[in-house]
Amino acid sequence: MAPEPAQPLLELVDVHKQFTARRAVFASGGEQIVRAVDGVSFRLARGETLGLVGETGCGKTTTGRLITRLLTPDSGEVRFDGQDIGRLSKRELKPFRTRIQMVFQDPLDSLNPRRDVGRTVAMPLRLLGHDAASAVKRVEELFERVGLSRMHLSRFPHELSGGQRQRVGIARALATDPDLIVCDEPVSALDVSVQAQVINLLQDLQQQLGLAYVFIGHDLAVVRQICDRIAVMYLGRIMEIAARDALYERPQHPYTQALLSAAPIPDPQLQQARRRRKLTGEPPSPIDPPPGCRFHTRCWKAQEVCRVVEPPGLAVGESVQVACHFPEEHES
Amino acid sequence: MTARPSASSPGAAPAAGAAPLLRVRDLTVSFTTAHGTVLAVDRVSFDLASGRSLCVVGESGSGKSAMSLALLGLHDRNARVHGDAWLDGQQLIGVDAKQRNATRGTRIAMVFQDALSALHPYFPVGKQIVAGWRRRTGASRQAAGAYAVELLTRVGIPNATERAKSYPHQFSGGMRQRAMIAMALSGEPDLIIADEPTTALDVTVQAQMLELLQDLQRERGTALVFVTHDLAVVAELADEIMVMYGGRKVELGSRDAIFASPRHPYTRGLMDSVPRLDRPVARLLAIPGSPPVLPGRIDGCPFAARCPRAPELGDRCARELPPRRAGLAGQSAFCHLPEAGPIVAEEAHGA
Repeated sequence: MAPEPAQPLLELVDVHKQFTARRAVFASGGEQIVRAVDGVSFRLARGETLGLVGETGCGKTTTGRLITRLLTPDSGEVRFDGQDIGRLSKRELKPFRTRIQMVFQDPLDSLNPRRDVGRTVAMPLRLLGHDAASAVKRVEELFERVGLSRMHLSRFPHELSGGQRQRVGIARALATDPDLIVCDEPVSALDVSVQAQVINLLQDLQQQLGLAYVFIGHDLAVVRQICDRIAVMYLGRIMEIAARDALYERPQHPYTQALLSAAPIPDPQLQQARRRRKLTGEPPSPIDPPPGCRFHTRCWKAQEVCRVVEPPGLAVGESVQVACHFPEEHES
Repeated sequence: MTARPSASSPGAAPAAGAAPLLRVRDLTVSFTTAHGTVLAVDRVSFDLASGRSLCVVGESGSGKSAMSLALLGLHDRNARVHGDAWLDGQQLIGVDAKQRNATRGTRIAMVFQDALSALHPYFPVGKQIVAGWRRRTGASRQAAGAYAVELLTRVGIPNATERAKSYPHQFSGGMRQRAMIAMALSGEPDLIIADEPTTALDVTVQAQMLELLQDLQRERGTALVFVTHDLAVVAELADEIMVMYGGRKVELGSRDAIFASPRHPYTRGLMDSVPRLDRPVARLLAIPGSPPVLPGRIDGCPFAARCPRAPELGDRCARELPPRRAGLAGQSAFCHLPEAGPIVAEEAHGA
């Protein structure tokens, strides 16, 4: 793990993002506010991978889109290389667009079906002012780097396998020579045997190019494989953030414990022997999150204080942080 | 786990008097497409005893879904289904609608991956989960309503009386999947076929769903065919495992045998390529290439093109049908490599 330098590559400070949800057509009442991201703070060092995990609706994808500025935060700061890019206009953002890129879950949705993939990857290069010849040369380099051959250049997305398409998505993200790539579930749509290839590729690229990743995932085993640190989100907030092995071996937040114990492991003996922490139900609606600690409705440790007082937010810069009144204490 | 009756170990000849609930022999499903004939399922055979669960493991194009649809007769007219499948001696393949309706719903039921498209958006959940049952039994509307509430309660939906009146879009993903299981239970089937029923769910909800299925098996002795690509779910749920690749069965055996000693290079490759929740792995051992999308007829082993061991045997893997080799108790792998085990005769066809 890289030691944290004086200035992190990326720093989120108390970032909020709300959406307005219209009520169903025939339902009474006005608009409702969904607090998708509700005070998220973390840091990411150069060359580091931070995982964002949590159940559907926890705000992990919205956080990713705020970092890439596909969305604009309502409040808080998104500092990239020291500068708050959260409020920048389209024009002011331009120099940052090349440095922050994104890889999406389903490359079939995120690649233009009517353009051969060579041209898709060349597109950002042409926009940056490369001439046709130098763009082609660079695309060939990129294809080689992601494990595709020259013959794939003229293929259309539907002519490629899922794994090859995701390699194209990664090549496109690399085209502008970014410092940070936000990967939103990049291997979830892939077959198991191909998933491993893409995970290995992402790790190799990180080593070769010094990339930092924000890795959004729901498969906790994949996240363990690829991330240095992991933030566990629940209803728009980070519940716990810790270094990988600390989080998986000594989870402190009851929600982290529950999430980890719900995921089965591919070993029958170990799986039978595990102690389970069962969660009932599903997360409450982010339209009206519970008061106090928002996990208290499903928490087996919840006391009166949890129902009333929200645990203090996570202080930026600590190595292990947990937003809980009664965190699990592990012997060190 | 130690008390598994060996009589129902797959591949082994069934012991006298212990006929399996489901017996599948040489099941083949093919489609004619613009690109030629696609052999989605190629001569698959297996047995499943009452109360047991078989996990069918495979990637896209392995034929795992095509096989389950064939058992229920749910394929379109462009599919050709051959071979035999008997449920308690009753043929399931190639029968007419009348015979099929005698088993579908009451003896076999299906749970699909995408509950939102499997449920009808226009009808309240309670009404549709018992529609088939009401049609079969001719029960009154009140009786059907009460049965729907009973079923929803049984699958753990809180406030079932109220929720029975809700529409599918008002349910969360986990609740919809529960409703699908409730619908499958309505006819009290002996066999439930579930096609990736937890793939779209969060791990917490997935854990609840697996527990529900296991409870139902214990309470009612329902047999389960569970189609999945997730080896961790298999470790949790399976009694027996069938690994499929390119339309073929490549390995079959008890869960513990296959996890302890996978014999087919594909099974081994799958296990090595899965990241682990419980321990750090320096680097995953990926299988190069990708699974065949539209498998045609293959003479040899469908995995030959990606198999790291195939070159050792020249072109044999690509050209010759791999023999059945015996592993641990009842386990069999279809592979040319001698280390997969001694060659044993194919099981006799038919009953």
